[in-house]
Amino acid sequence: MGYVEISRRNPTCYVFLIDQSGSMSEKIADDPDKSKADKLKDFVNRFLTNLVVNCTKAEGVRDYFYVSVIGYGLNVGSAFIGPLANKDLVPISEIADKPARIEERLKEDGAGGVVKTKFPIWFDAVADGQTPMCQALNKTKGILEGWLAQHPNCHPPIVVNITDGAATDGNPLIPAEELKNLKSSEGNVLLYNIHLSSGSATAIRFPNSEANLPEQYAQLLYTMSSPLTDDQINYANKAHEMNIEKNSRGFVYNADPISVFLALDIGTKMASPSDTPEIKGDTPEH
Amino acid sequence: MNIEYSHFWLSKAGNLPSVCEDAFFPYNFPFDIIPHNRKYQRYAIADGASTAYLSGLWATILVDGFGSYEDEITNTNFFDLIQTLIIGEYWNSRLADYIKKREDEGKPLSWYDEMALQNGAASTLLEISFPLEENKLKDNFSALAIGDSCLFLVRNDELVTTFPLNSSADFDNSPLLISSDPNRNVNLQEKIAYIENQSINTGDQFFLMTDALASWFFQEHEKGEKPWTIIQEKVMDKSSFTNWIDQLRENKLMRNDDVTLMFLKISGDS
Repeated sequence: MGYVEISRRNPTCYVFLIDQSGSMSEKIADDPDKSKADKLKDFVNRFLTNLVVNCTKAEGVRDYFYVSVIGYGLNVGSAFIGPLANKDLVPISEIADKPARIEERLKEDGAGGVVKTKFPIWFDAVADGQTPMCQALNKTKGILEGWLAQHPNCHPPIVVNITDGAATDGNPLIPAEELKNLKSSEGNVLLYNIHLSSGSATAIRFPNSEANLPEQYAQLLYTMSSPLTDDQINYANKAHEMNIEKNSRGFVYNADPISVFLALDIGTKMASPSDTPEIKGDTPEH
Repeated sequence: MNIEYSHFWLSKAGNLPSVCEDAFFPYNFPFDIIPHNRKYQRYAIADGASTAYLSGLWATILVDGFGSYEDEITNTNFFDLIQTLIIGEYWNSRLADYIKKREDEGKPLSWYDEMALQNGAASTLLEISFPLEENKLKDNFSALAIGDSCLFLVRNDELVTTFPLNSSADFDNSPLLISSDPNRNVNLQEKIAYIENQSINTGDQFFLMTDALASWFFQEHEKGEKPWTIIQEKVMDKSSFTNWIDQLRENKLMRNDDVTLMFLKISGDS
């Protein structure tokens, strides 16, 4: 499947739906030091950093992408803090110039040592309230309806929903289907789901059938998820030496940190004909 | 024998010419070619990776450095030359100039400029060299390549050599690149493509081109066409080149990308 080229004249957008419910304060599997909310904060802030850097040219940051980060927990709305607080959809150049703060972290230097690296923060870890996933999906639908009216020929927007629990405000399949029914001339909105685990259950990455999923909730998230594109499957199999089959869904169940990294990296990979920035992985900070 | 030389370039549609990240050597022909006691006459093109920062500058440094290199380039000294271009008075000093210029303009590097710079610039490179004896062409050429900028040799109206790729299927979105960060070049040595001591004849035509046009060239040839004839019919000057590339883009026959075409023709002694 070949999508239209992403360019400043024809940008596209990412929407991240971040579960901020109370259970996100639990530790994530395989990392006893951090809560799921902390880990998610690191993953998505790092993704934004890499996206900014890859859109950076000598003359400035090119607006290939607009980005929304919607939190859902005690409230449903923009998760941005600082200068971008309350903004729903922000061009990547504005994201570049307006982090809430820039932290310093230590990063492996590849030679056994560590070096300091800058770590911009656009939103913080929050874990409070229930899981109003339906409201978050509906809000996203509103944002993308506006976006698609203005960008009818864009690369299909990609929505990544990251959650650790079941929706507490209804059946999310209904708003998920409404969201996926939105489309540009290039195709339908793509919705991917990452389910975080706090236990030791083995992660199920990118299934292509619901037959072997362990429970009804996993089957629901599977049904909500769009298939990965051919470009994403080819990229995953080449760059990450995976063996993902055709028709696999953009869905990870019981995700450990590595699975979250893979899902974000592969699920946000867009067709890149000539000047779409590569979204590359990064070595973890300490 | 002599070499007739012409070159054409066009930035990606929608971009200003100033942000074209292709580069070629010689730029100021014939002044870039030092006219005495040379061992080689060299030509080079490079395609700076749009995914990296300041890649156009790095591509320019590569073609200038390789194009004006006076001795034989081998697998042994290739990386010494790259290292010289990075550490010597080229990349690092141009980078220092760039950073100072930004500061002088009141636009010092931001956190994202700094991080992009840490990732290094990256570019393909295609270089062709013709050995000289007493400033006259000998009867052969050699070439080296990293990445998907391509050379086509047409002899007697037949395509006799393609280098380093062999078909339109060989292109993908992740060509080999030379980085301005030496640590990122560690696995490159065994991947440099060479052809050496290939014969040249009067009338030979060399076409050097960056990937978008090279892909079109392969596709036309695979359809049984003679793309070199099309180029010669369509491309007379900068204006006709621009019109022709615009048409290829509009008709979806070529990807929208920076384009460079270099044409070398071996002519008899005049």
